[in-house]
Amino acid sequence: MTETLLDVRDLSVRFDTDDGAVHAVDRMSLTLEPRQVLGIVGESGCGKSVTALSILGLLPKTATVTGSVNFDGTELLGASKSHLRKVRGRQISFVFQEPMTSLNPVFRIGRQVDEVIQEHMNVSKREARARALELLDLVHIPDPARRLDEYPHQLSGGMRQRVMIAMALACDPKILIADEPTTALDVTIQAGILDLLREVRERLGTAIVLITHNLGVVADLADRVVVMYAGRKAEEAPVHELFAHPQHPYTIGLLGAVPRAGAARNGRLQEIPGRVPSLAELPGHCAFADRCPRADEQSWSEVPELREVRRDHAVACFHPGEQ
Amino acid sequence: MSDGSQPVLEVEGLVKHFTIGRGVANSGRVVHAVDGVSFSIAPGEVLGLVGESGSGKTTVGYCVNRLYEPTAGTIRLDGADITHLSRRGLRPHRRRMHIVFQDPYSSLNPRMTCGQIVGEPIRLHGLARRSALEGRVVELFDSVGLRPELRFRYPHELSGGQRQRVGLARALSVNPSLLIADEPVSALDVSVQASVLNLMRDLRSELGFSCLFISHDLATVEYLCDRVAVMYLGKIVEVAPREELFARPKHPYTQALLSAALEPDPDLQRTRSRVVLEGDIPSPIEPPSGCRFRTRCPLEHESAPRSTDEEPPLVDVTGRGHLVACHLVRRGSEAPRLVEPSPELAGAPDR
Amino acid sequence: MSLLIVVGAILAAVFAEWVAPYPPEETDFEALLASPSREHLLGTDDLGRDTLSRIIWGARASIQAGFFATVLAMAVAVPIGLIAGYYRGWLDTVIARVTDVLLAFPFLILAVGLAAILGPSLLNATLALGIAAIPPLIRIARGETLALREEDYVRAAVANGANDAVIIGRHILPNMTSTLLVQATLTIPAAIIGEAVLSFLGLGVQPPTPSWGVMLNAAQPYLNEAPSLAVYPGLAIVIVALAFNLLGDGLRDVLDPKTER
Repeated sequence: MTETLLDVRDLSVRFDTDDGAVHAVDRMSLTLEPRQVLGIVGESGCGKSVTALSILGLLPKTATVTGSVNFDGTELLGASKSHLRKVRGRQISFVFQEPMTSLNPVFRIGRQVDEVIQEHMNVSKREARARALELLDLVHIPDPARRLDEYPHQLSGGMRQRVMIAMALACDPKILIADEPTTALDVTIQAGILDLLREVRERLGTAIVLITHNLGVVADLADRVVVMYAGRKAEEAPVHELFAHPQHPYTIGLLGAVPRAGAARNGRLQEIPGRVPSLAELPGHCAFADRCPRADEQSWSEVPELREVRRDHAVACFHPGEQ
Repeated sequence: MSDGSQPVLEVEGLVKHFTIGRGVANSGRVVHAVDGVSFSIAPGEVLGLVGESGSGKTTVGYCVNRLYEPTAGTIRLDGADITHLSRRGLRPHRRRMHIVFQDPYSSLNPRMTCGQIVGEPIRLHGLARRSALEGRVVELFDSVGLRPELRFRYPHELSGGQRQRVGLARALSVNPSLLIADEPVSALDVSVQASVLNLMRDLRSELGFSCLFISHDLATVEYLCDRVAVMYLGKIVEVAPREELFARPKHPYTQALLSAALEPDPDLQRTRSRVVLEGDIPSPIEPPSGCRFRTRCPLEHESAPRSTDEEPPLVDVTGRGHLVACHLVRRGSEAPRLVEPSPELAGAPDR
Repeated sequence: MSLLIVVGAILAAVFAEWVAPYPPEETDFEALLASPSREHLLGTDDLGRDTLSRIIWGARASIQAGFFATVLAMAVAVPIGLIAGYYRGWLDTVIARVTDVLLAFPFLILAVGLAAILGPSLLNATLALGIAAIPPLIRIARGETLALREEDYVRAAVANGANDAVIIGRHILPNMTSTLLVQATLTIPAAIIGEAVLSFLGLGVQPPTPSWGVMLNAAQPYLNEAPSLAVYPGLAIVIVALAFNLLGDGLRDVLDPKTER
């Protein structure tokens, strides 16, 4: 057994809204090993971002979080604010989707990077600036000294995302949580960011939680993949296993629904009928039943539990199997 | 596809410049959104227009549909020059082209029922009234896979996929010969995209309209289009029939774009080599002189200094409709290869 | 709650003859400057007129002024704003600049100036208030039009071959009605206060006809002996104006087609 860096057990998140309770995440369990890239895949509203935010207690007050989040031997759920602040940014840091809004438009890049460094490390201004230069160089921003004197709007989307990654790496965190880090970027820019994340993992040994809706991103970078649907884990397996032997009809559907190279010759895209369910009205049966070709009486009456159907390959479905 | 019959759409030397910053400080700055684009679409053909943000692909679509006033160039729809027709003069031609927008949320009037939205073009063109109109709307709902009862609902009561179907039904309501589709699925969830793409494919073979399909996603374009045009910074850099383009991309930018596209297959994705382009797309306010791609081209050293002084023309390099705008791609000689395409992706003709 | 007050005020104004316990100009010389009593629930003024009745009758002038001034302002401002925002060009530039200049004058100053030119009467006060309320409404209508013009469904209507009347009438105007209605409920109280100010200054309703502003004016000399003479009409103005403002906020939520009802 390798050591576990992050161990999330039975994490549930409920939002109490005016229209009743919304179960954003239901009994999610995750483990992350050092240097591992864990991909969490799902469509909008499946709870993947909420899962990530709840790890660091970043959810608004309307959220009720239960379960356990164990990081490096300490429990983060219910931990004091000061403890969480020590972990945030220093041990576990975040990179968000929108590099446009994550940087404050009225301050120079340098000031924002310096600030992050000084917040977490006891260093002088000069040392902070030196570290900032080093970081920008690490994320391959050309001419970093000049960039530090620029404002966010003078940088392209790709450059801004690199700055965000640099800031996230300021304190050599053990875990980097990247929420749709390339979604807002163009294809040719996206490739560069993925290469950068790969390099971060290799050179710094940072473990990465990669949250995305894009199966291609996961195929490119992840070691292990969790597929989420309607707030629950639908399937989990090592990346090659998952893509080669998908078991959950939803995973199979997703894989068949994306056009890929050679699309013209591959025949018709597989459709998943219906729509993603609303988390406010989750049924008491398999949440995928109404869209599933395999659904039967059992699917319509019970919620399937996660079980291991192949080696190191778990599925929450009554009728797993390829095709 | 092209059997010598008249093209549905002919675009020649289309230019669209926007002037920004009318203030004192930066007056007269011009965004070269589209700078001399020419292409044509044959009856029943689907032309894919691919490019990254800032390439001008959406602007081309809006100009063709005359939602923007072109700065220069000619647009001919079914042979008729519509480039500078007035709103009134354009009205009879509106029946022959329609557009589907990217955002299923802002493209439908929230104060009209879905049935009214779909029926509006029919009403405006006086094609049907009352019960005939109603019947036609029901028929259209049926053809885009929506339950006819949904026509009494308001757009906000529908899901993204359903809204996009309403948008499609509206566009097809007057039987246009040209459909302009501007990223019609990119705002939708992955599991919903497939059904809309399949629907477009079915409707196209059923109704036989031509389509200008604008997208940033190569795989989607490959799935739907007969011919593909690749845009970079306001210009078309390469046009070719689908199989030809994906199997033998010639322009370095097309090659980079193809190699950077992500494949949902870890074995394939991790073994293929990709070209990561240096730098960012230059600003369309001051596009580079000569070849617009030269600032990011991995082969720039080979074509310099010609690339700086001279703009490469878009020429047919195979004699079979494969047009490339690159100094390094010449007729009769092999195009430079940035990466070896992996055999699974290239789709060798004998497969 | 705010709706109740607004409806109540309007009903009181319309049916003043029946609601008010006394005619507004009837004097009771037995009770000059009387405190509240069973006969005169809110007391009487220096001429022995019943304060409650005068407030009820005064609502008529206030609400009339508030309502018609707003209708007038809307009727003028919305078409101008629509045309400016939709067609742009030099006309828009001219309209926008003129609006900016007029907006530099506070609403009340503008209304007072106009009322002074037009001469004192309720009709002229209403006209003055209506005209003074036009510039901000033009700006709002124009701004909304500019924003809506860029919506894809408006583009789609252009692609449909719709003419300008259809685009403005079916696609732009209906989508700004909620904003306009909310704006109207904010303009009405401003005009009610404006009417009170004009009447107070002698530029609006002429005594002895009751109006809240006239009553405030008449109460001035007696502020020490009978402060209630000023307090009650003042309260009436505050309560009705506040009710309209709150109603505007409520309407905003109700009228949004995206919120489920």
